[in-house]
Amino acid sequence: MRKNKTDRQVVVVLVMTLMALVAWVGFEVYRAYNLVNISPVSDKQLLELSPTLDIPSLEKLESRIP
Amino acid sequence: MAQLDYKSSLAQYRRYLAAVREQPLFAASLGLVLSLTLIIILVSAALRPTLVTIASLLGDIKQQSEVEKRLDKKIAEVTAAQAEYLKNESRLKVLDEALPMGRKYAAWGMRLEDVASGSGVKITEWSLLEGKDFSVSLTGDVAGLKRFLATMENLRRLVEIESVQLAKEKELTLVVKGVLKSYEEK
Repeated sequence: MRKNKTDRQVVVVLVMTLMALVAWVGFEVYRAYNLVNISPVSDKQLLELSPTLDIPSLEKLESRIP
Repeated sequence: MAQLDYKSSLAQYRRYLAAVREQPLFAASLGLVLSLTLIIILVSAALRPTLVTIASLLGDIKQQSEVEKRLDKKIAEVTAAQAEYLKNESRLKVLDEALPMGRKYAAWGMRLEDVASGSGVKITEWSLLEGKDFSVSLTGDVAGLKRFLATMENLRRLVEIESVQLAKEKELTLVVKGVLKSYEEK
């Protein structure tokens, strides 16, 4: 009877250990997925650029006295 | 005598092991404990590094694809801007005249003197602070001063006129204060 109790306690400890291990692995996986590993590209290079030219303003400037 | 005791103890222990092995509960729990131990070892030693590496690589791919998407967009914008620039290249010199790089106030000053002489007024005093805050005093008749002011406002080089004062002393004097605009890269 005492032996059975000891076995059950060992199993409970192992199951708890396994759960903790799975949680740890999950956390590690999440952290590894979200960690920035690539070399940073400067914000200046990624800055959006408007390719349109303000033609009406250009025309206004052209109409002014040089 | 001691040898006999040893043999009897061994036989007793063998009987105990035989009896214990026949108990299904013990056999099951032993298998369970060993399986759990093996799983724990495998998860910590083999599965964890593999999963971490896979997640790290997937994260890298995701980040790289985001950067690639933004760079592709930027390249498309630069290409479109280049086409627009080539289309209007000849007209863009107007921008250099309106908002030159650097202060370039000397050419503007000379142009203003031309305008003053063309309008029939005389520049009596000049001041230019830090190459941009200017103050010009002129004398002349009303029509000439009006002509000068109208031409100055319409000059291609952009200026922001902050104040205009007309005073009658010995002669009619006009004082124009403002800011000379130029392109400054941020």
